[in-house]
Amino acid sequence: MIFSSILFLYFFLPVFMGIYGLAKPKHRAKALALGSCFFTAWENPWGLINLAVSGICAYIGGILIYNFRENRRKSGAAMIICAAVNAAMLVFFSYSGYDRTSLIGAALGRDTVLPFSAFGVSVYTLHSISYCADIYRGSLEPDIKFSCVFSYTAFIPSMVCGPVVRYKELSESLKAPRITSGKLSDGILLFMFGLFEKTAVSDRLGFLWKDMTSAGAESMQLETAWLGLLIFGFWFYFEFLGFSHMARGFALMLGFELKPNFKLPFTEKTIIGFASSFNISLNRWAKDYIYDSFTKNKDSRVINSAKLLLCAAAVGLWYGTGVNFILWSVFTALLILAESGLKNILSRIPSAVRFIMTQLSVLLSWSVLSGKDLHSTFGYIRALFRLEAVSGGDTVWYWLKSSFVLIVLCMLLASPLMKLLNSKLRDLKFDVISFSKPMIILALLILCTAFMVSGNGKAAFAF
Amino acid sequence: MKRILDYISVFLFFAFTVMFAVSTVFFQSSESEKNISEDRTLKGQIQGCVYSRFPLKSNFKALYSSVLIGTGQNRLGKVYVDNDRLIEVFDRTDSEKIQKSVAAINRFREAHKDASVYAMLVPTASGIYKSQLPSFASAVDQQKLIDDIYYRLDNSILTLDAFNPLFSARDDYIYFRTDSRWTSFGAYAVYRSVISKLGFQPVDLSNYDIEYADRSFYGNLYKKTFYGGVSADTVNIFRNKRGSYVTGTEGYKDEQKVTSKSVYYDSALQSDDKYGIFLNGDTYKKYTVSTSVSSGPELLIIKGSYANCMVPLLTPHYSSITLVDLGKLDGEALGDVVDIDGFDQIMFLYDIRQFCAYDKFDLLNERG
Repeated sequence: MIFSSILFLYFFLPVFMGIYGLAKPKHRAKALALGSCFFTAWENPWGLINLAVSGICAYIGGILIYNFRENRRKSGAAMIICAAVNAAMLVFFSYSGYDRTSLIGAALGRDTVLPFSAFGVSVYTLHSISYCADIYRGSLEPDIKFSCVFSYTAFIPSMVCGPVVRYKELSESLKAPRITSGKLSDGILLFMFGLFEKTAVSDRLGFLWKDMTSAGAESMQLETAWLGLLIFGFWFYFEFLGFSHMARGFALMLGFELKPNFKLPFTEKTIIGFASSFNISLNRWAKDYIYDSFTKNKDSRVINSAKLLLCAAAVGLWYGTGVNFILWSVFTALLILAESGLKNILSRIPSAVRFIMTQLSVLLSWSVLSGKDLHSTFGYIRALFRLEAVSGGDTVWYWLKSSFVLIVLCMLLASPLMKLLNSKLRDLKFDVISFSKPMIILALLILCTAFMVSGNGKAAFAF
Repeated sequence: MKRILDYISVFLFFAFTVMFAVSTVFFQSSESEKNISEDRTLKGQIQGCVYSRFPLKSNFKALYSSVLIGTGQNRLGKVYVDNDRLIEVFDRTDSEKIQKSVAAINRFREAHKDASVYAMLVPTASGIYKSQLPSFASAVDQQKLIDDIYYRLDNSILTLDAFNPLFSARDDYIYFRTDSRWTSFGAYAVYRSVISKLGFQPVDLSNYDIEYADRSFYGNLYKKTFYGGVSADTVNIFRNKRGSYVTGTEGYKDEQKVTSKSVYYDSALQSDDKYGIFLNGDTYKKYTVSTSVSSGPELLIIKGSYANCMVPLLTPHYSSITLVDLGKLDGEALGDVVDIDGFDQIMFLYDIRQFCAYDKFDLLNERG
């Protein structure tokens, strides 16, 4: 079940919130755990095995690591086992089918079909590793209550695609989550806003992108190819942003405050700035648990670069097992390295020019993600620079007409304007936001339902 | 005050969702339309059931269509809005399925060598208006596809060209604006062009009174989108000035036999699908039209839904016309419902879209 489906919004959410709200605060962690199990089993009952393994791994692994804390060898072994089990599940059970465009398919030399894919595996495995690693590093003590550890690893709002949270962020609230009317209404508003971003923005961009590329990159005109890239970039961003807002909204309804996962990356003037404001929780996870795991030669530039590339490859693998995801992530890391190498020269460039350079590089990086395999990716990159294919013809006008309103909307949503408006409204004496909240929620609910009923019969996460 | 407003927000949200959920479960009836999900698993069934029973679906769809068209987009799922017309997007074919269908028809031809067998594949609106559509909406080149299928059919099957007559008449009212099927005018344009190949002279249009059976027909594409920006269709029927040749019809549904005096069913104008005025729609597995042309040959049509409005035009030439809908056969083969060798002519009449998606042609030769 996915947040952007009728079944979730109209059936699961009211029933689950009812049960959760009626449960005593100290039992709410158990309700969360049950909800996660139902969520997973709905997609595929076999996925419960992975969920259970990951949860038990964190719980027992955490206790063992803590008990062996005087003996680094033993605690290290427990840590490695826990990380390896979770990483293996993440790699093998993210999808049920691997064709040759994926690393697994390419390595085996044939298409491979696993009996099932485990829903949420890309999030709960990271939670499980994070929990054990924090105990291993001594910054966390294991929780003795299994329901708390399990409901953290399988944290239901994060199940679809993050944000990846830390146990420290949730541990206090998990003991007895408190629901208040303010949190509930703010959570609903945030959830509806995310749902709007997913159904009315991201899904539309996805359809446009598929239509634009349906005839293949070879026949694409240069202007259409660049417009397509912009649409693809926004699609990728709003898909994750929408789910992240829904997750934060849902968590807030349940009584948990999660940090924002995106901080307006399209306003950044540097690539490192872009990367650190895009899917923040994932990138921080990679930094804390992969980059910082290598403690030797901290000042060596070569080793730091290698660590960054390793992190990038891992992050790419998280997005998808296709080679293009890894290439995209590594390409971004290379841009970051180039940027830090040329720090002195770049600092002399006016900030407006830097902004354009950065955003243009980001736009180009989407082309690596655009194809399913290397062949189609290179085909698309060729279309971007095929000067003889400049047309100015009807096709590009058609696509411009179809996407203009959507692109303007995306630019507004990706700019600081909304934030500015929000803070201006909050400064007013008259509480406009509180007064308009019920109407906004209702309007978004009706609009999103219209999109869910008509737009995507098969609601799914696109990446 | 803020607290009260928060309560109102929460109450509104949950009241709305719970109300709709309760209404979906208890107060809506399942529509006859196929569920969105063809998934046979429990999960797929529940999802399909919820989507098909969701209340106010037509209003939500209308809102969705208006928002999309208002923001400059022309595609509403599988439907493309082209000025004052809805066109069904036909963007992919399953070559394996087509190959299987062609092989089954060829095997059928092999088994019934004495009859004259004809094939007519009719293009849909996205094929005829291809030049006006963006490439994704008419990605399949229907003329080439039809030619290709005709080429692969057995040489002794006579193929009837429906593309060129429809293309020549493209400025006329040959397709409904809100439905995926063709009008009587479209059927007549093709009839006029191909009937000589079947051995007859066409009946001129001046011999018919063109009756407006209905002026407010909103067809199947409208019901997919509920987009109100396209004007309603008219349903025209052709009445022969000299009186109808039809003496009676028999329709077979399950084990029931339903008879009628005419091929036009006015009662369908009160129903959901007014296209059912022709032959009562795709209701019957076997449908026989007897005419007063006693000396005429007997025709068997293996039909798709495009055949319905062609049949009235064929009645002046045949002593009887029998139609069989392979999709409605229940475990039977074609030979179980008709005596195949008793017919002088056998015709396959499908629109190209339905033909490409069809997987029932094995029933021509063996039981399902």
